This record gives sequence, structure tokens and C-alpha cells, in this order.
Amino acid sequence: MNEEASNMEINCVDTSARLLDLLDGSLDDIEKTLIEEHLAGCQRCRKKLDQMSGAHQFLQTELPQVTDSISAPEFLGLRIKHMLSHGNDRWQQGHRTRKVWATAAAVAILVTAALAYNLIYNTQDKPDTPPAKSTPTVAANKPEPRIIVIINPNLLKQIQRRDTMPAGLGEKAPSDDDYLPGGRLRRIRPAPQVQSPVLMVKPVQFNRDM
Amino acid sequence: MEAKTSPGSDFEWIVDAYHEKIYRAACMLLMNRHEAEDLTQDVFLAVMKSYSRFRGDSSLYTWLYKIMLNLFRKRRSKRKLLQWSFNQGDDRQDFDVLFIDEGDSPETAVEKAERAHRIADVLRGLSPKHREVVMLRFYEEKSYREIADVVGCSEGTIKSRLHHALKQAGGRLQDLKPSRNREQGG
Repeated sequence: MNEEASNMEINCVDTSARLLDLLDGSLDDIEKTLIEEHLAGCQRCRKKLDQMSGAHQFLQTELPQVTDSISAPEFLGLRIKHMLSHGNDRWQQGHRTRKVWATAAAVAILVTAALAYNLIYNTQDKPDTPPAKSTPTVAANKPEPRIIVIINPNLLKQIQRRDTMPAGLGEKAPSDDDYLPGGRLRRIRPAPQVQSPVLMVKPVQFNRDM
Repeated sequence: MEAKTSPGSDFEWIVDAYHEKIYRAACMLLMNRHEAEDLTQDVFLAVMKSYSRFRGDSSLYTWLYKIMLNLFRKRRSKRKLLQWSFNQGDDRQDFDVLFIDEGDSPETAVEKAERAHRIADVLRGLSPKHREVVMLRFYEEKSYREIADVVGCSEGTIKSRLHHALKQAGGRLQDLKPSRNREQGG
């Protein structure tokens, strides 16, 4: 091992790059010998190692002790739970905004779909020859295309509620069975699939006389 | 049986299990207990909002820690934490209060305070990025690969950051050494 090491040389840059590994104890024997040989003859690198080693030891022993001695304020947990249960103002505001946007988007989609359908229906219904003169009395009696949109109210509620209920959370805290090997948490419940609340879009004819 | 009226009630076990750990880590990253309280609350609020996105690829605590780091960075960029934490003298006292326990004897209290002072001095001398890595390595005892996953960069970058952090911390520690040690050394 030392024979092999003696045939190789290592400079300050290589040594510096391996100081952390040396402190972690993750160097193989050859590398360790090379580094130690270099350190024996290089004061600058030795000084650097001393500095890093002191900090490494200090942080390894002191940091966990000091950090573990910190106690959370008595009511922090309760406050967080309360906040999560009863809603935080900012969060509620965000939800209200999102709910309004979701509803507005749903309405816009429905209106657009209705208009598009109406346009297509009218284009197909009318002959290519333009009417020479308008005959309001006849038009008034002619059936006018309308669209009925049937909406499932439960699904609409589900869309509105979507942001207030975090998907994936079960009705209970996870049990031991919910943990995968290695301590990972299995997904408790798949995210609910939100279906379109529109059940049917149906063109119908209404007479204005009705 | 009490009906579940709000989603928050399902999170109680998560809050109970992790709020203390998250708070401690937040304290050491922010070096300010009030900011740490806010950050801890924000973490659980974010968890509640994005729980459906938790795929179980990592442990729940690792996921919480990632969220905390993201919020910490946002907070840092918003408020320019570096200047703020270095320049505010009151923060130091505010941070020291964390380590005072009413049951401690005066000697223990002094000893604790000295230890906390040294750690706080060393951590304050580090940039937030270096502080993140130091906390994950020496407090959370994560491997380089795990740290890289949590921080979101390569293992090489993590090692480089830790190298620089240790160099800086070592220099700071030498400055903090009592004068008698310097005399012995000289």
C-alpha cells in the first residue's frame, strides 16, 4: 500500500478537495496515506485541516445539543392546529378568490359552449339564400333554438369545495399499515376526481307563443 | 361521534409529531424565534394546502423540511435576511432567550448561554446556504445524497458548500477562542 502511495504525489489543490472526505473518514487507505504525507510537509494545508477539523468536531458535538435544547413555545402547536382547523385569514381569502375564479371559469365555459352550439345550429338551420325581406310576423311564430343545460348540483358543490378540502387526506390519521418499508408514508387516499357537473347539453325548440 | 367539520382536524397528528422539530430547525436557520414561529406556522399551512401532492417518495419529515427550506428562502429573499439578522442587535438577545430554562441553576444557565452564544456566532458567520447544509449534515445527520435531494442540487455542490462552511466556521472559532489559548499557541 505504502509502496503504491510513494509512487504518487498529491498537490495542495487535490489535498484541499479531499479534506472533507478525510474528516468524514471516507477515504481509502491509499488516498489517506497520500494526504497524510502531503500534510506532513505542507504547513498551509495542515492549518486548513486544523481549522476545518475544529469546526467539524465543534458542530458535530455542539450543534445537536444546542438545537435540541430549544423548546417550542407552549402554545405553538395548539395555535397551528387552531389555525388549520378554523382557517387562517390569508388562506381563507385565497380560497374565496379561487372559488370565485373557479365558478366564473365554469360559467364562462358553459356560456361559450352554449353560444358556440347556437351558432352552429343556426348556420346549419338557415338556407344559403339570404332572406329578401324581413318578415317579423312569420319569425315570431317560427320555433327558436334554445339549449337546456342540465347540471348535477352535487358535482358543482364538489368543485366549489375542492380548494377547502385537501385531497388525499383521509378521515383519520394514518395507521401503521399506511407506512411503507423504510418509514415512508403511503398515500392515504387518492385525490378525488372531479367530474364535469354538466350532465347534458340538449338543443330544444321553443315556440315564442308558448 | 364528533363529525369532522374541517380539514384542519386531520392534521393534528402531523402538527403534534413535527412542529417542535421544524421549529428548532427554523430557529437555527433564521436565528430569531419570532420569525421561526411564523415560519413553522407557514410550513403547516403549506402542508395542508399541498398534502395531496405528497407522493411518499421521501419520509414525511423530509418533505416538511423541504417545504420549510423553500419558505425560508422566500422569506430570506423578501426581507433580505442577511443584513437584517446581522444588523439587529436585539435579535441576539431574542435568540438567547430560547436556551434559558426556568429550572436551570445559575451555573447551568451560564454554561448553556455560552454554548448557545458560540454556536450562534458561528452560524451567524455563515451564509444561509451554508447554514442549510450545516444543519442538515450535523443536526439532521443526513448523507450527502440526502442533503442534495433536500436542497435540490448536486452532491458535489453540497460538499463544496460544506467545505467552505467548515473553513469559515473554523476561522470564526479561532477568533472566538479565549485569549489564554492564543497566548499558549503563540
